[in-house]
Amino acid sequence: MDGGTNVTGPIGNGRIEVVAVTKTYHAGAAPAVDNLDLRIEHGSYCCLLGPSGCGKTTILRMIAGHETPTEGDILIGGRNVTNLQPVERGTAMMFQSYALFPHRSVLDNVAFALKMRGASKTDRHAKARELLQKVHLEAFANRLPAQLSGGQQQRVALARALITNPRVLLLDEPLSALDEYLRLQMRGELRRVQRELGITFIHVTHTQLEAIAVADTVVVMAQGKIEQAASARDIFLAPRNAYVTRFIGGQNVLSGVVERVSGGAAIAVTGTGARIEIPLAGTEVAPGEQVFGSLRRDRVAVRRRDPGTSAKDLVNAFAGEVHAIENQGSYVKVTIDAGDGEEFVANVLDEDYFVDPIDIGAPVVASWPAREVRLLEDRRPRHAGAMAAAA
Amino acid sequence: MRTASGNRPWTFYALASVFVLFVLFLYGPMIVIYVLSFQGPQGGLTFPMNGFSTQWFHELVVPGRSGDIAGSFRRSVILAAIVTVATVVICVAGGLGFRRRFPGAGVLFYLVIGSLVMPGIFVGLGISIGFQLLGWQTDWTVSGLGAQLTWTLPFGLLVMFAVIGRFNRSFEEAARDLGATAWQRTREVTLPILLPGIIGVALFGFTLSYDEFARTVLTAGSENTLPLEIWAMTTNVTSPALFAVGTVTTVISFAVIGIGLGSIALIQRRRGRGAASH
Repeated sequence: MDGGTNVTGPIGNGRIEVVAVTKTYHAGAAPAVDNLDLRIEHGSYCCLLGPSGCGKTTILRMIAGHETPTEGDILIGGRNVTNLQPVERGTAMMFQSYALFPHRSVLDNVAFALKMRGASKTDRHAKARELLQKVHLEAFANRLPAQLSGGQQQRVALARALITNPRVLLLDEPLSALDEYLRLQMRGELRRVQRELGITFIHVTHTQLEAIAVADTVVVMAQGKIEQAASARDIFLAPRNAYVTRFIGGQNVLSGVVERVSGGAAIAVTGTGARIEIPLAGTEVAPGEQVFGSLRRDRVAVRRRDPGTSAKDLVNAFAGEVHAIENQGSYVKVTIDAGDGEEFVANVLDEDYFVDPIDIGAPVVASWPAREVRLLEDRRPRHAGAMAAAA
Repeated sequence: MRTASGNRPWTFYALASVFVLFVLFLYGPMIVIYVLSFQGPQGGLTFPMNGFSTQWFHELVVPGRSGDIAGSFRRSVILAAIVTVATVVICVAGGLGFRRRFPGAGVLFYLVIGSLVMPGIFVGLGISIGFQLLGWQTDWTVSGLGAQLTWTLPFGLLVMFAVIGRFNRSFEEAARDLGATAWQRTREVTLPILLPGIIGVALFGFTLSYDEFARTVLTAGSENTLPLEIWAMTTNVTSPALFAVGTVTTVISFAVIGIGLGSIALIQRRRGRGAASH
């Protein structure tokens, strides 16, 4: 048999378009995915990021063809695949628990897709060995999956998914079954494989740092909708709203009611009475509106508070008590409680912190340069009166 | 447990004694019967042993000496084989089918399980009256088979539910993702993974049928299955041949269970080794 050619599909275009897709599992229940649009370029590494139940896995499964959208269309490489079988889509999926067939050897697991396509044993085993070589597991070809470690199983699952030369690889929480050390190692490995193959990877995860570490594009989701889709760098540095800022971490969310606008910045009064400046970058805000800003944790300075300091006198700073101290090696994570319910974290460089270590419970002032604050899209009219004034 | 032996609480000894009594009660009578089946030629139905012989085993195969043991044994094995096949086929299909929720699934489930609760003797009585009403002859291959299936099917289905409950559906999804058709998924993935459980269902089917009495007694017709024959023997055979029957049937039961469990182990081993050879 000339299995060599007919068992390997052509590498097509792996551009994904999700068009106005809604998925409702039970009539009347809230949709798992709500009128969602998403476009993923061919050959990019995209992470779908969100808490459990946000619909990220449902999107992945709809792209794979294991779920059918209630409404809307899914296009791969410009072709509508909404009603096609998984095998007709040119996609391959790596399952969360890998789903390696326990009764088949590693070699037969990897060769499975070719066997289903009718390839001869010689052909499919030759191709499977080639893939096992790529993931450095050729020595384990005759083992059963249960005889492999978690990391090895993951590589088998990867080889098994790649044997049909898919144009899109879908990964459902691929690293969640591994311990921390392997997780860090394997995420680099996934990224390397994606670069090497040049195909589209869609990776579902609920771990922020994992998404930022591997992805070209990060899609942050909540309750069936996309909160922000942007490059990993933008997601981290320029989150759109308070939800994304809080979810990604690494930044604090500041909020206050606009008192006045001057010099291209809003002066807002926070819940503790301190004043903060938020550069507006051309955006219009009205006095009385509650506005939100993001502030990188590593741009905050923390100093001991003098007994006489009043919260109301502070500008671009606030007073609070140290709630927790965590040494992270190259920096110290200082969590400050300002009494307004919002967690505020300052990442202080280790050499700065250990000059005068501040203990838990100590009164402190956290301050930052105004230019480090970024205005977020969230707005909340504070009082009815303020709204009328704004109008 | 050497370290704990010095200061075990009194409850340990109390419960251990209960357990020993239980084991004696469980196996003692059967051991008595196995020993007595080797009774000498002049010996009787009770101790003491009067010599040692295998004479009573020979008597079992001589026609007419102690009922139709050979014939009833043959019928029981054939019937158990048919019941086993039917139970496996129906329960595996039913178990897989029940994974998908369909209208009336709950009612159907309770209808099936209900026949486990009904007293077997009345199930048999009902079937025999039904056959009479319709003017049909009761026969072990027809009414007997049906009566036994009312017992083995719900049992087998419950076992299948337990087996399938542990089955991870992502195996099937992975197979589908890799291009397997519905039939290929069943043959290459689902059934092989479920196979040890399916052999368990087969074992249940065989052993439940092989020593079924209550449902069979009124539905077997003119020819006896082995349990019915033994029951008849207890009233009219007064020699240790009766015990010999007990020993032989025990050996056969153990052989069947051994073959079943052995094949499960063998399948697992062969998979490992078979994979290594090609």
